[in-house]
Amino acid sequence: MSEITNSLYTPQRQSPVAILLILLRHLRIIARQIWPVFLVLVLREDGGRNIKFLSVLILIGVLSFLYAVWDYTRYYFFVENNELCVRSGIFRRKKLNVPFDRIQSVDFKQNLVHQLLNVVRVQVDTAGSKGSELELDAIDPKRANALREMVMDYKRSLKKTNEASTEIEGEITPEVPAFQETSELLLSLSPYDLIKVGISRNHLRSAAIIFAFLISLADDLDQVMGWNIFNGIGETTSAMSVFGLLLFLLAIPFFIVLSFIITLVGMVLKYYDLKFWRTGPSFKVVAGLLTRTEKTIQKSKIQIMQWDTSPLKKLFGLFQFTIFQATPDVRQNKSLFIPGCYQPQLDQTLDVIVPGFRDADFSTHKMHPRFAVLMVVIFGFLPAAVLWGIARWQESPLQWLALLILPLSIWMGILYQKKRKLKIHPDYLLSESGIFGNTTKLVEIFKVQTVTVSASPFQRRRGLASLDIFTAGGHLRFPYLNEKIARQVRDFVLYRTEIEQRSWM
Amino acid sequence: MQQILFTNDQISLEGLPQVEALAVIPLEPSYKTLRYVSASLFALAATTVAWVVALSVPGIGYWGLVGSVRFTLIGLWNNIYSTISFRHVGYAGRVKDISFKSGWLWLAVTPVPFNRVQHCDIRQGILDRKYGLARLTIYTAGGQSSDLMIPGLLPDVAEKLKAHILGTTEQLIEADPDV
Repeated sequence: MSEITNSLYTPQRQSPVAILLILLRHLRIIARQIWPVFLVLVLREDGGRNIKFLSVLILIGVLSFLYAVWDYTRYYFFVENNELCVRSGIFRRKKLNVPFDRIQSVDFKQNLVHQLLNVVRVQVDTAGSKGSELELDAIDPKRANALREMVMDYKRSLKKTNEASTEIEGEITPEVPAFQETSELLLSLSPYDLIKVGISRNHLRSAAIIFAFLISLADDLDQVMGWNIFNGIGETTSAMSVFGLLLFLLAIPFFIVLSFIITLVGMVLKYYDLKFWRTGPSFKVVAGLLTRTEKTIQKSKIQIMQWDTSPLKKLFGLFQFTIFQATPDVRQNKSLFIPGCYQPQLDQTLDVIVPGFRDADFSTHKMHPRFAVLMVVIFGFLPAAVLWGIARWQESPLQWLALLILPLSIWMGILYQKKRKLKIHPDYLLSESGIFGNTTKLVEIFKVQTVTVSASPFQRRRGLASLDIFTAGGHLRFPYLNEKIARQVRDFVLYRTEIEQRSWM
Repeated sequence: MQQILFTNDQISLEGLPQVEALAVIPLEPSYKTLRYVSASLFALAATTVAWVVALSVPGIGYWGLVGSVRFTLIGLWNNIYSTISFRHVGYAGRVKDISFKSGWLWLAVTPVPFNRVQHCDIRQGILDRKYGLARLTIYTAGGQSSDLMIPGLLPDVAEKLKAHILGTTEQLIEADPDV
C-alpha cells in the first residue's frame, strides 16, 4: 500500500485551493441571485449611491472570503472501515459516511482553476437516494486517484467473494487483476473531428433555443429596466409587410450562424481532446478545455446504448453515441455521451460492450403505417386546416406558405414509417427510428425490468398494440406493433429475464 | 456472447408461457364503491372551489356555473369509467412473476418478474381504510412508470401477496447475491 493510500485514513482537509473554489462558488450564487440589482445600480448613474454600492460589494466579498476560510477549516475527509467519511459544517456539524459498496462511481472534474493549480474535484455517486452524493472541492490528483483505486479495489474484491460463494457454473468474466489494469483507448476526438461534429449538430434546434433565450432575456430587461423591447418588435412585424418578411428571412440565417458559432465554441469547451477509455470492467470519458471532466461507468451498469446520425453527420460518416447506465432515478441523467465517432470506432466499442451483437441475426418488425397516418393528421393536417382558415380570413398571400406544413408532414411521416423498426434477437432488442437521421437503441434482453403491452380501442380494432420495455437506465417504446408480435415479444422477454442468472446490474 | 446456465435452443414462441392466458383475479367489489366515492368527492371539491373563486372575484360569476357543469360531467364520466373498467381490472400471479391488467378503453398488461422486484409497500389512504382496503405497490428499477400498483386488495391479501413476492425475491437473492 502506498504512502498516499495510507494517508487517506487520517482526517485531513482538502487542498487549500478549495478556499478559492468555495469563495468562487459562493460569489457565483450571490451574483446569480442579485444581478438585476447590480445592473440597475450600474446603469442608473447616481454619484452618491456608487460609494454605498461599492462598500456593499466589498462587504459581501470580505464576508464571503471569511465564510470560505471557515468552511474550509471545518471540512475534513478520511477513510474509515471501508467508508468514506466527511465531517463538515459551520453552524451545524455534519458527519457523512458513505460505505464503499454503496459508491457507484468516483468521477473527477477540473475547471480552469483546478487545471491551473493542479487539483481535481471529486464527485462520489452513490446508489442511494438524493442527498447522499458527496463532493470534494479540491484535492490533489494523486490522492484522488488513490481514493478511487481504493473504492474500486474494495468493490472488485466484494464481487469476487460473491461470485465465489454462489458457485455458478460456467464462464465467469475473466477480470484483469487489480493494480495491473491496462487502459485501452477506444476513441479520441481530434480538433478536426470536433469541428466536423460541431458543423453537423442540429443548428435549427439550437437556433430556436437561442431565440427563446434572447426572448426571455429581453423579457428580463423589460422588467428590470423598463425598456420596451417587445413593443418595438411588435410594431415592425405586426403588419406582415415586405420589410417584416425580409427581417424574418434575414433573421433565420442570422440565428443559424449565431447558433453555429455558439455550438462550436460550446463543443470545443466541453469536448476538447475527448478520450474514451476502457479500464478493466469500466469505461471512462475524459473531455473538456477549461473544465476537464472525467466520467466513469462500470460495464455492468450499462443498460441502453444509443447511436444517432443525421444527414450532415452521414456526410462526415459520424455517429453520436450515448451509453445509459442504471440510475436510482431515471430522470437523472447519468449517461456517457460521445458527440462524435466513426463507424470503426463505434463497431469496436460495441464489440467490447456487447461482444456478440454485430454478428447477430435479427428478425425485423415494422411499425404499422396507421401510426404515421395518425402523426400526419395531428402534426400536419390539423395545423394546416387551422392555418388555412386563418389565411382565408386574413387574405394575406404569405400565410398560404404555411400550408406547406401538410406536404412536409406527409413526407416526414413516410420517412418515419420507413425507418421505424423493432429488431429482435434472443439476446438483444434493437429499436430503430428517425425521420431525416437515424436513431438506434440497443438493449440486452437480460437487463430488462418489465414489459408492458397496451392498446387503445383504435389500436385493438386493427389488431395493434404498443410495446413498452423498461430498463433501469431508460425505456424503449414501440407504438403500433402487430398485437400478436407485441405479446410474443413480451412473453419472450419475460421468459428470458426470469430464467436469467446473470445480474442486470 | 457468454451464456451461463442457458443454452440457446430454438424456442417455439407459441410454446412460451403467455401472460394473456392467465385467469385474472378481480379486485374487491368495495373498491368500486371507493372509486365512486372518490370521483364524486373530487367533483364536489372542484365544484366548490370553482364557485368560491367565481364568487370572490367580481365579474366572473358565470365561471362557477361553467366549472360546476364541467366537474360534474368529469365526475360522472369517472363513475361510468370505473363501473365498466372494473370488470377488466385484476391481477394474476405466476411462479416467477405477477401481472396487473388494467383499463377498459386503454388496455394494458404489465407483468413484473420477481427477480426484478426492488421492494414492495402497502398503503392505505383514508378512503382505503374506510372501506377496509389496501393498495400494494411493487417497485422495480425501471422507474416510476414501470412500478406496479394493485389497488382494492383486502389488507391481509395485500400482506400475503407482499410476503410471497418478497419471499420469492429473497430466495432468488440467496441463490444469486448479485440480483
